Amino acid sequence: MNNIATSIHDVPYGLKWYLYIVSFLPYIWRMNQNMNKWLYHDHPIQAWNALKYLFLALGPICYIIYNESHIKGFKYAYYTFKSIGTTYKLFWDMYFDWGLFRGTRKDNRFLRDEMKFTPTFYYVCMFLDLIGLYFWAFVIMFYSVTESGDLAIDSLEFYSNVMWITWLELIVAAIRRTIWIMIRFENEYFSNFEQFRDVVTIPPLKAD
Amino acid sequence: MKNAVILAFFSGASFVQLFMISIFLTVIVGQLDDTSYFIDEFYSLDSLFRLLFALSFLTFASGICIMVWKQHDINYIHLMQVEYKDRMNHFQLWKISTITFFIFTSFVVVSLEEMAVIHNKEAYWLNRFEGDHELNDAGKKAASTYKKIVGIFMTVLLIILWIQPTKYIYKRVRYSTIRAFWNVIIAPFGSVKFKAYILAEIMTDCIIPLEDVGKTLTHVFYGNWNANLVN
Repeated sequence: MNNIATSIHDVPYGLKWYLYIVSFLPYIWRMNQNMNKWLYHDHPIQAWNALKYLFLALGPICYIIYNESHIKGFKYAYYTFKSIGTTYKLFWDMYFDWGLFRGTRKDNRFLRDEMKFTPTFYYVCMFLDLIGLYFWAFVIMFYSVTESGDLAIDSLEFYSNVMWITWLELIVAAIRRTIWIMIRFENEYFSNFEQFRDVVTIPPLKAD
Repeated sequence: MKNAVILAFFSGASFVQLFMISIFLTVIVGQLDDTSYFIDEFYSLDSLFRLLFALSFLTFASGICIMVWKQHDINYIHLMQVEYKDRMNHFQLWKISTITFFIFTSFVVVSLEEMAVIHNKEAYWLNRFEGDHELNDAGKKAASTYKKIVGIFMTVLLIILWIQPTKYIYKRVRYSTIRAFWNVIIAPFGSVKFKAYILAEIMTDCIIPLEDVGKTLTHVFYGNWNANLVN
């Protein structure tokens, strides 16, 4: 098992840069969408959403610079951007994407007035979202207890091939995203916050 | 009914293969003199396995979402702004998911068997009695060739699943997803629809599968993606 743990510098040159680029490219794509909504469709709150993706993209970019230059400051910058970006994302997920913390009654203060699912479901999903978003912190912890821990802390966090951790990361990310989409659609059914459509009211599925 | 039969067949077949994999790993691999190189070689294929697994898992999860939205009368067809005739139900998604999962388990079984055959050939070992177990050139070549073949197989499979132009495998849905992906890439200039927004959000969680695509293509050209491995 130890033989397979390697640094990013051991992979072919083209693949190395491909791995570097895909570690932040999806965040840039998403940031572009927000900029588009902000600048062309006059939706100023999207500027704050774009800022979130900027933080999330800057994390991997700092890590790439650290990997190439070994300047410790960029490693700390990675942890800083990653932490800020994740906390920002958690807030955005719950408040804007899911429309939670907007309840007007005493019993639904942390939820919202219009809901399709049971309150327990939302609370469980909020907890799972928290775990899923901060899973990268668990991953660093897992690396530190594996045999290749010493190597991992300095050069492997993103690109290690320690198999079970990567599989676990993928599964956790997929489950979190499934939950996120489920409630995102449900919230979109009630509100048109990001103005993706001209028609505000949506017909029920059975009537469509 | 037809979907249910396909679902039952492929999920049953996948579970049989999972059972075979567990037997293989516990019994047969245990018979090898030194498993470390075998395990390393096998694990180097995990980017290919994972790509198939991710496809299967995401399709299955989409099916669950659609089932839940249907139960709660959430009009996902209207929200996604797709034509009514282009919609997919959860059974159709689960059918694709189970078929992909079956390909994934078959692939693991075949790779296990192939790697065991390569590593079990006594002629492939050097310094066997001094405890320094390593594949010789013939063994390295055989392992590398197998990985190249698997990489090509995976590339062709992805093309068949996504961009082949025939009407099979839900052409309209596939092409609609590709168009949405194009809109994600050209986001600074194109219009941002809800479909493209959701796809871009999913992409932010798909960094590992995106890495696996690169590793798969590297397998095709180099026979491996990791210089630290034996070949």
